[in-house]
Amino acid sequence: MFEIVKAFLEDVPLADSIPALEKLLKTALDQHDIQHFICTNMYGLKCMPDRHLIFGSWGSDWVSHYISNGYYAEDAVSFFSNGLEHDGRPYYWSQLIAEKNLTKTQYNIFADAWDADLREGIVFPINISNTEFAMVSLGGLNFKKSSVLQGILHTIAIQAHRQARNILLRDHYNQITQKEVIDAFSTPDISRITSTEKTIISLLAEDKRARDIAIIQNSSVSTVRKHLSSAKLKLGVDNTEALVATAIRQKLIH
Amino acid sequence: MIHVINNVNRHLYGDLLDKMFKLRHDIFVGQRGWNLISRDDGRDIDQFDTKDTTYFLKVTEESEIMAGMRLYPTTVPTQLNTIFRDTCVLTAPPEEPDHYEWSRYFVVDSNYRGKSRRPANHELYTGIFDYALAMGIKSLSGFIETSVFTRAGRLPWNMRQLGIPVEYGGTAGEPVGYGLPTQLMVDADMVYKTKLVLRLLRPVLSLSLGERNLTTEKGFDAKVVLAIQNFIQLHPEYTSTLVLFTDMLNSADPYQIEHVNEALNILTKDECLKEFTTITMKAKTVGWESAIQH
Repeated sequence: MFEIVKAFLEDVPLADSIPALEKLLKTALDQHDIQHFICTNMYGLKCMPDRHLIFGSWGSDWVSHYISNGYYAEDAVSFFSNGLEHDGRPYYWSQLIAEKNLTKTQYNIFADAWDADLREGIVFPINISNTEFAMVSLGGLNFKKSSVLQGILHTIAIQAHRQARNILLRDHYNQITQKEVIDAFSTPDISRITSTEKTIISLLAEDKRARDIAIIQNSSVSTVRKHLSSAKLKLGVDNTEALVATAIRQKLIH
Repeated sequence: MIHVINNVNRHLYGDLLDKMFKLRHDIFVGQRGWNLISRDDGRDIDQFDTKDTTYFLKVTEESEIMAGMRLYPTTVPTQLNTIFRDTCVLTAPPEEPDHYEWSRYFVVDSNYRGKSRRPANHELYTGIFDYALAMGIKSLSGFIETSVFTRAGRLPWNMRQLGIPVEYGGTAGEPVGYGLPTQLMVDADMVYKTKLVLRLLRPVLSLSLGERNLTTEKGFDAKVVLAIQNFIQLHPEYTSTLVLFTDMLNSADPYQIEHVNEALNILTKDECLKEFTTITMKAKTVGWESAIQH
């Protein structure tokens, strides 16, 4: 029963490119009646934009349909993946339909998936840190629900994402500094954020510019910029959008 | 600092170990609902708390425990080869002298930052890995939460799955958990990269000479810590002298600090491995015992 996943675990560290990883995944998942797989960087992977697909079963009619209709923007699978379960437990697509208050478009996406012979699927939230999150979604025509299969698929999802992340960081290594690579592994040190920095981030979140904040704070623009640089360093981000997003996720501001 | 407590020095840590057992009970039974390990005396002590157990405790300057974990040899019955054996469906758990099991990881306050400005668990991991490397330990196995395993993906660790994620618990009113058996391979490269990522390159291990030594702020190379432990095992009569020696490190008196640093300068790795023959001789020549009385 575990031979397929054992072979996958042996082979996955040898996959040295995303296409090679996708080929391995297809072989392993086909044997479990899984025809569809996608992995999305929801946020935080330094070398890739947020909500960007990391790997997937490209070329299938469903994926082409999914991309051409821009479903990724509202798909319930990604929409609800963050914060599904704090202990990393997966969710079945049918659970999302039954338990979540879906929009009409979200229902239609599941209906289209059904028509494309994806009758059931499973979502694995992959929480790398407080500032980095990905998800893997798998689906198929004869998807069988069992705790053992769930564990096997979870193993495949985690290990495939881990290898993909390693490949992306390796490929990106030549373009970024060693510090950025270390930052990609590190967690933000939110305890070091000062109350002034929090206030300035809150004002940024209200669309205030550095010049406006300086007036509000009775300070100089250069002082505001110094506070912002310091906050970015502490939260391990390199732009103001990411600074605000991270501060909200970390509940530093509301 | 991280204190390493084992069968060599546990007689010097009576109160702190008792405090740790109570703290573990508060955390694992009180907060996490592990009712099956509940005890009337309010202490979490199980079959893996024996003379073979090594404890790692992050202790503050105020002698408060902020984080902890235990290591257990795999040549005797462990959690993975007894309680969780059925979960190891991919690879059998290790049962070799240079492979250890880690368990009962806890952090009291995740927002705590000491002088190093690093979280308590970062110091704890660094201390455990330094010690493991010095001891020649090649891997640390254990049953961990799946979410912890995915978060370990951000670290430069080679952590193998010994089984697939499964649900566990759920009896006696316990919560249903979701975890898996794992094995983390330990080598010099992994330890160095981990320290780099955790931004903790300085030594974090205390000389671990008992409760009088809790507030020592100076960190030591793991080989020095091991050598001290080997030394007091062979020469227990020197224990109190070594405690006085480390007291001098915290002294406000520059005269004492100068003397202790003179003695410390000869604490090279090679000399430590010679069981402190040199330092005991040198100690006499620099007169550090008289310096304590000074």
